[in-house]
Amino acid sequence: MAVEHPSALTIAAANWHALQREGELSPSQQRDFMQWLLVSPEHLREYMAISEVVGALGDALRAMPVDVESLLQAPAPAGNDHNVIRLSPRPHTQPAVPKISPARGRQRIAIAAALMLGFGLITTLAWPRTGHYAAAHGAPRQITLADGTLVHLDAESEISVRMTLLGRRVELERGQASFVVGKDRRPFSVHAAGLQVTDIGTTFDVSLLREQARIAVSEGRVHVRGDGGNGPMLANLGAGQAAQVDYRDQRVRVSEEDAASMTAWWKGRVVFRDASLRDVADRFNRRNTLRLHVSEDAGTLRLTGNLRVDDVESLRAFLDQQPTLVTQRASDGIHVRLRPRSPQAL
Amino acid sequence: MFEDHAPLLRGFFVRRGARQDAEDLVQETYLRLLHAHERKGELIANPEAYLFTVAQNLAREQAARRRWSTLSIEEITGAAQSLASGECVEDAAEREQRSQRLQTMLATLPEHTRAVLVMQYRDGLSYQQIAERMGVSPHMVKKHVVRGLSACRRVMAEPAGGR
Repeated sequence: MAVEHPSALTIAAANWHALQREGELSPSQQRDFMQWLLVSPEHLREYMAISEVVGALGDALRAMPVDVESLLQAPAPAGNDHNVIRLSPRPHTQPAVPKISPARGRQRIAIAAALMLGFGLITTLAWPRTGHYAAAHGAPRQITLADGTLVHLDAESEISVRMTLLGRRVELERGQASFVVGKDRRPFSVHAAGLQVTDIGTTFDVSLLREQARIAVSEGRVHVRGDGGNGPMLANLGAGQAAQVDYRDQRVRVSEEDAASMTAWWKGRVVFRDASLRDVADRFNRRNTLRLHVSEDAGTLRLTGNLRVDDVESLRAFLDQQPTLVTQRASDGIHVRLRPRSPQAL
Repeated sequence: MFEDHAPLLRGFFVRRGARQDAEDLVQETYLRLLHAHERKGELIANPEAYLFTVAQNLAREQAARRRWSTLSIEEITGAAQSLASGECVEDAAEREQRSQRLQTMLATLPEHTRAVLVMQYRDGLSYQQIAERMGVSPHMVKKHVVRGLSACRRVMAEPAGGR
């Protein structure tokens, strides 16, 4: 049986489970555990799945003739192997969670889109307080909305804003935007790719990537829901957390990040952590005339870095440092592709 | 401690045709836990126990709904009895199949990890007792547990038989 490296989420859930068996948790550990559970339904599901594994494990072990003594006779494993099972090349490590079928997801998104379109038409006619803002190539901008909300809009990005008596709603149509939400009794929500991000007194960032929407919270808290706000709760994010939601099946991956790095792009830096090269290139290309062209296979490579957005030469040097990549200057920009005969493991 | 809660989670993620039910259960449990946390906050001293209680109640409601909507009167009577006895319905064959897969997986684990799992989940020893028997720290025991559970988790994730 092929054993894949368990996902970080699985290990985290198993860790919490094991910690509870080790002894009584302190109140602060219990608080941390609760916070962890509530990060997203994925976390809760994983914890329940681990509990179910435990139930099944008892049965399986009782059915096996196992002599503990003889197992313990075996030489102890090397001390530093931690909790790694076996590393398989990682291009597409799928977190081990049941998925919503893509067909169903698409259907839902289609319905949601249709509903939103219909709703949008009606309300746009009824309420004239709407606005549309776009930032051109190479020209990120800041916009202060009527309610005092400050929007940082990245280059090649667009939003529509609608303020009604009952709510404040922003649609991110493309690109990336951060919101420092103004104090106001009306709820503030951002819609992007069928997701609804609801603010609870916050500074947060929404970005439409190639395959996912990314929501990062640098202050306060937001709720992320599917189907334009009518679907399931996908994540409940606090400061320093970011969620990537897959367009296809709405699978959610939550990560802990430095809150300051989330807003670094306001000051012209591109900070990326385990991001695909394709998405990193998009962020540079929005701002620079010298374009980065990434080949199909190189685009999925995951990278971590922190660079100035207007400094394409540094980016090129950074890419040249990657053992698997090779860059080439051409008249239309810089081409990036995988090094021929690159080693198998990344 | 986990023994009290173990029956509830049996079969939720493996029963054929129950995936959507399991998803609904996760979603609903999550929302209730979130609401409870927002209302009571610090008063929930043991989140795990609370989580299992919520999930168990929801699972019962869900099972009852499912039965009442599709079964005949006689079947409902029988089902109500097994529900009252606290048994979770699970296809015996399915369970056997999963147990087989788990056993195959367990055989591939390093001996010491397997020994820890046996002592913990078959014999019910504490980490401290296991640590003493093996001559390692309880922390090391915990590492084996995490490693073993994570590996077994993959078996649960695989579709049962031909889905």
